[in-house]
Amino acid sequence: MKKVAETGPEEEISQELPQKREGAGLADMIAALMPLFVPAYFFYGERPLFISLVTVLAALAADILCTRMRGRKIGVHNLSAAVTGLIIALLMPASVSYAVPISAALFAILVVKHPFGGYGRNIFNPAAAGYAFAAVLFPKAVFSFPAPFTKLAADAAVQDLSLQTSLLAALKLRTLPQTSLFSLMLGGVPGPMGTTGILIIAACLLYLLVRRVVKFQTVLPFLITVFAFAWLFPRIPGGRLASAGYEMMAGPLLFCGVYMVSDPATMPKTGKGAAAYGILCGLLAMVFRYYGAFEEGFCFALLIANALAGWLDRQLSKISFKELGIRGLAALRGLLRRAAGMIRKTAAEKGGAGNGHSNHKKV
Amino acid sequence: MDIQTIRRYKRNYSLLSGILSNNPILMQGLVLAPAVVASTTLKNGLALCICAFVVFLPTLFVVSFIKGKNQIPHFLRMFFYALLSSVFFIPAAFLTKAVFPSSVDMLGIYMPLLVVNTIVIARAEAVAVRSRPLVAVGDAFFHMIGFAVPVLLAAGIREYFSSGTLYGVLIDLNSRNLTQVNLPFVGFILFGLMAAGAQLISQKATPAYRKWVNKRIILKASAESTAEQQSRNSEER
Repeated sequence: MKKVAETGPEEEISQELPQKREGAGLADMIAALMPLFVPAYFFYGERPLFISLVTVLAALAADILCTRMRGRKIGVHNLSAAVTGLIIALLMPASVSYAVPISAALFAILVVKHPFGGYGRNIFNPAAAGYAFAAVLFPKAVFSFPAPFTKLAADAAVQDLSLQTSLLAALKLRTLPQTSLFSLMLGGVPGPMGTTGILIIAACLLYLLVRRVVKFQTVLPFLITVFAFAWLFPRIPGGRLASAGYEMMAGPLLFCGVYMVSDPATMPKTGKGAAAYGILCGLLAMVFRYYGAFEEGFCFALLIANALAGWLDRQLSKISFKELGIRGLAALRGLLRRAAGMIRKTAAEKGGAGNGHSNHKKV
Repeated sequence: MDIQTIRRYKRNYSLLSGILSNNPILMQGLVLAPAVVASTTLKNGLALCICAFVVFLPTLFVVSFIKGKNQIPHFLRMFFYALLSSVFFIPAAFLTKAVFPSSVDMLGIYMPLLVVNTIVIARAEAVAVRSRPLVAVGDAFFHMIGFAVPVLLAAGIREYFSSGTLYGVLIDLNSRNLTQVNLPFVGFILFGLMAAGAQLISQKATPAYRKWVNKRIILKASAESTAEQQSRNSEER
């Protein structure tokens, strides 16, 4: 981990010109998204594969069209659209009709990615915006899930299927879910088709951290903030630990934290900014969950944080923690001296011995 | 032909700029709030446009009678415009209520909001104060058309997707009824896309239009000069 931190300037340069090295990162992202199809196929049959394929093709076609229209060369960077399409598809329930993820992917590429400058220059995360678009326009289709272990055919529309709400809906109603935390970890719960395999996502997070595609400066503050928020303000009965566990593992929050928060194009470029960005994302995501209209507001939180990314960089680059630390230490020393003086004074007034406070003299 | 005459001609021809190259919504981003929120059905959009027409045209007509900029001090002029358009809002509200009774409730605050609108102030300060009444009204008219076209377009698109109807007439039987299209964010995105389209058309159309205007001015100038020469010749004779 420390080695990653030491290569700060090199990474900053690489983010100034993302085209130079990003092909490898994109390949890693796609490689890390692939294992999620194993539980998806295991739980829902072949339909998730077809939905993802169609979504990725739509995103790629839109991206290539836009790239040609803007007069740029087609290259490895077009694979970022495939990543966007994969993330959008995996965030959808397996029973969703094909139109929803396709329209979300088209929105992501045509409205959010290319008008703002295309690959590496977009302000907002395209996948988050596409998911937000689908969630706002088709809330029924996005937030009702088929039961796991129902094999779905790859037809145009799934009919006569009893759809369930996810665990997040139960959390939203402030009730303790019936599913145990262990089975949640294994993933046999209704939810988006790619995001329920918590263990697999955690393994992918490790892989991405080792490959330095995902910055731990963002992901760790994000996860810690979510954990701390759920620990401090539990909204379900059953104790703080249960609250933290359910909030972390129910819903696509971990998936989003791994694959969407540290998107190099939309996150702050400096280390301090990245950490503040992770904390902000976690905080906003939890606030959206607790008080938002939808059961999962992560994407809205990420879009707001994206808008503040550059500002965070600018503000935090002015602050030097070393200087702050020296100043804080000096202030602390002054306070301690004053307190010691007061204690000595009162001790002298009382006439008692002030030897008990001799440790303050050293300061 | 002196420079002032050229300017006069150019001003007369720049009347049309309100439609495209100086469009109040798509190019200047004025009146966005009522346009984005209220353009949910064609009837609502039409009600908004009628109300805006009835408020803006007479206001700018009256403003054009202020001769010279110093007749009313600058800080008072804004209040004067708002007061004037609120006077003309009374008949506009009655008219809209008579034509579209249901739309008035749906428009809510966004109809009275037209009184303190930025188009009035912008056009009054830019054109109406220093122009003849007819020019001021013409400028306001073309700006209103520039306001109405995108609003009605957005209203039609949103009505079609939200209920499958156009102007209350059922068109698409298999409509998916996406009532979420009526949310303001869809309006913002629609107007953003339309602004991009308007930029594209304007980039292509404006040079051609300018060329045409210049040609007209040169033609008029030559006609005037020949007329002057003829009159001089007749005087000399």
